[in-house]
Amino acid sequence: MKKGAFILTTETMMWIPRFILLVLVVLSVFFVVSMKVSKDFDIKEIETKLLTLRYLNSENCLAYKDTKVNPGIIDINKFNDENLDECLIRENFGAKLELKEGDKTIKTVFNGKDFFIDNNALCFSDKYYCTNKIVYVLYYDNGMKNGLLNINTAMRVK
Amino acid sequence: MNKRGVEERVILWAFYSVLAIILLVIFFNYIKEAATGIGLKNEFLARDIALILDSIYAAPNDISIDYELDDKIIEIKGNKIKVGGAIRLTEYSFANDILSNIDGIYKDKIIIKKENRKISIEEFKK
Repeated sequence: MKKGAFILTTETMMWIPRFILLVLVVLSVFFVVSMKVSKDFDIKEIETKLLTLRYLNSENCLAYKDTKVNPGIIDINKFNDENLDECLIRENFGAKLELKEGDKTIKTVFNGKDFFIDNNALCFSDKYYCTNKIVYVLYYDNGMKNGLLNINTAMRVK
Repeated sequence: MNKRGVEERVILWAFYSVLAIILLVIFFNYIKEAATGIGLKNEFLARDIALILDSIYAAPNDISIDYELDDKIIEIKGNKIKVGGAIRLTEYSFANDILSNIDGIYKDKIIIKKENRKISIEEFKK
């Protein structure tokens, strides 16, 4: 036999079930205790509200700035995918924003486009939290104009 | 039983005992965290800071908020907040932006600021 070689004797083999049993018992107890003690704070609704607000309120996102920042007024020059992807980065969140004037769609943009397109269809699952909100907005495009902003969001929560 | 068999059994018993003790210590700490609410407090802290950061990012103008971490240490990396426990590391995401880099390890009391479109976090100096 080579020096340092390990022989699996009957004694060692008898111990294998003991180790497996020990690990199984510990895992089972962990599982039962975790089920009893695990508590979760459900903040997905307020999170989505805050993220949606960011689009409209933050100068880094869409808010129009003249002498001051105007929350709720969209600067059409900022209304593009690149700007939204720079102002809100989150791997489990995506949104589609559609700016309308009456029935006419003026522009549609995405934040986290790939995530939104891949996951929006899965909104029926409880692993996702999705919202659809239409807000009245003003937008600046060579002058102030009235519009409606349709915001669809999808967030993976589990 | 020969001497070799006895030695092997001793080694296996020792290994088994060490494994059992390690598992017991981990399990004890886990139960302690759950029973004393430390785990829950960490969960709360991670989510609370994530919401505060999301609120500050959404603020239209400059803002500053003081936040007491008590005895907790938090780590922010990318868009994740980590609050450490003895056994479980609690982690929660917030939405950051390209302008601000707030990565770091913070403790005691922090001041979260939004100034000139950028978010920053400073530790409160006494």
